[in-house]
Amino acid sequence: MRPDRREAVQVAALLVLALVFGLVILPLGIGLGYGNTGTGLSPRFMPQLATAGIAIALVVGLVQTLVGATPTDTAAARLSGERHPLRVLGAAAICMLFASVGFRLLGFYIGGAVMVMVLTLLLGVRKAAGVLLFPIMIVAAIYLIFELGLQVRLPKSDWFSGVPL
Amino acid sequence: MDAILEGISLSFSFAALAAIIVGVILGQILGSIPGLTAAMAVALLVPFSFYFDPWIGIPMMLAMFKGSLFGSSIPAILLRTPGTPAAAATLIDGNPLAQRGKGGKALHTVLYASVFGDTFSDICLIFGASTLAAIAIRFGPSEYVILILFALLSLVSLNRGSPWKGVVAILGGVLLACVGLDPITGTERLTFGNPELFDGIGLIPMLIGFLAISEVFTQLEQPLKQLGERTVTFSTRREDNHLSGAERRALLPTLFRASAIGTVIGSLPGLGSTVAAFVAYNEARRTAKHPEEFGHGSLHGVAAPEAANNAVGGANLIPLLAFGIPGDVAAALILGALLIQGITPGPIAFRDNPVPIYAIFAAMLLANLVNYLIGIGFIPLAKRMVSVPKRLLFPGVLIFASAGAYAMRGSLFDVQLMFAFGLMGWLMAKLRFPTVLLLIGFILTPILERSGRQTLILVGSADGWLAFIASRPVLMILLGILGVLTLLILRQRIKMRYAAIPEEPTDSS
Repeated sequence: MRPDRREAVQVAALLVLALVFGLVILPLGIGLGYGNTGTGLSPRFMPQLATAGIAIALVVGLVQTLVGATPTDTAAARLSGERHPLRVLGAAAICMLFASVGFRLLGFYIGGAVMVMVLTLLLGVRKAAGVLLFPIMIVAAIYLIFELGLQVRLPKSDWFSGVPL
Repeated sequence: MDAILEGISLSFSFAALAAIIVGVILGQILGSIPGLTAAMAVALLVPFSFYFDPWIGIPMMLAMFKGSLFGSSIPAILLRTPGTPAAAATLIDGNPLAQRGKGGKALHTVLYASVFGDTFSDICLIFGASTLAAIAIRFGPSEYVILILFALLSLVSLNRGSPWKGVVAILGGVLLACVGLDPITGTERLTFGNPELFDGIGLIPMLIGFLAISEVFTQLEQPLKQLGERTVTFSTRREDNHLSGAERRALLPTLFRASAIGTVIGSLPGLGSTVAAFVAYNEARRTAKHPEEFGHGSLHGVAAPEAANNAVGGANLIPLLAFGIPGDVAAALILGALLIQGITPGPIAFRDNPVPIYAIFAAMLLANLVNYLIGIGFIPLAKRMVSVPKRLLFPGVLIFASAGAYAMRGSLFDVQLMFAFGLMGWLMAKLRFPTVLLLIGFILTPILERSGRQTLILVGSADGWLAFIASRPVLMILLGILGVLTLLILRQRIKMRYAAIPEEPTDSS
């Protein structure tokens, strides 16, 4: 697909999302409370204003994209070349998995070391020093700074009670 | 005079000096960790200050704040992971310099500009606290609304890509800021029953997610071979790692202008260093001899936001010390520490017990000098800290950021939000939407919404809009400035559009 046509499709998709958000999700997510009893603006006012503004800006963007008046963005050059979005999605999934389950089950330090280990493997590190030693060094540094230095208690595992990790 | 001398002697004691040195070192180290903000560093030290003598605890906290402001620019420049939203303005030109091997020069510029802006605003604080605070205190909610609109307009004009993308990003930030309880009625907005969202979305997960995590994700898209390379390479040429006397002199007009912008904005409670940094950057680009260099590694583009950002730090204490009103999060934390130590800042303190106030002034100036001297030694260390292969550094950044996001509220939900925002920021970068504008919209919305609603109530009690505006001279001046600025931006945009269209060949026959 041509880049300008692809951009038009992306903007149109965002416009549909904005409309769905404004017409369906927003009324579901904000009750009117006291906002409609004459005490001032409705609680929906600011989000509705923002959503309407987004929709108008997207319509302007769609028109500009279709008539080819959108200026070339310098960031485009930075994002060009060979890209691997699946790796990003994989890394994001690993991070989310540990943030929602791993840190709770294993504790931050053990869970964190495992997370760094998995990520370094994903990024192609194969040397034992990189895969095993580096995660331990990193979590040790975090322990020194947060736990000992700043007295911040990071999540501990219920599985290893008595172990301060 | 005796009070001034007594205040100075308190700050120049050995214990206070040692506290300042320790504070600056801790601040620079904490600030240079991606995701740890200056406010967070001060917040973490407030409980500790209770265990120290006031003349040790307070100078240490002030020094830590100054050190962390400089430290937060190090990851911004070298890793494109700013520790504060204000540092995001520094990376626009700082990072291109680092990419060309001139990271050392960029960091020296940052240090020079930071200390310059800080000292400028501290001197303004000392000599003009009551005068500037008297102007700032006249600002009501309607003036705040205009000021914020002024800031947002500047930011959209600053956006290098399509203006409509800037508008979408800012309004996206406004929407995210609406999550939580309505500030007037207390109605739940977009929380969908999740109690973790009742206080709204935390600033820390937003900042780390959109600025640090999204950048890591963007870099992870590169081929593995490139990920094995070192993050930043530094040129070995002396001129690339040093700021010459001529360069320092050339930066002076920019530094004076940016420091003045930072001082004025900083003396207005609530606007903060982000607005100052971006307004100063825009002003530096507008007045530059070579505006085309901005965005590609201009030293003026590095110096202006840094000087303004740091000038806000001192100026924020103007309303705090003169009226007892904190200007931003950091000033509120400093107020908390002063109250813990039994010092209540305000006009009465100036009249009845000025020694602590003068001691604070002296400690601030001393901390600037220490920040500069330690900063010079810290730059080579910082360069070594970030010179590791990306495939090792990025997992490290992700786990450090997780600890930083968790530490502020002790919530794993914040860590999940941070990664979700990281993914959103990565998508925004792919679609070329400016994430920094989203963050600014997010940060300014609570003040905008509160002030907007208060203004409507005030207008309702006046005889209509015109009578309301006519009764507020400061508002009239601000409206005039906003109108002129809008016209200037429109003129600039139209000129740019015509410059982009190639001229039709004229028929001479």
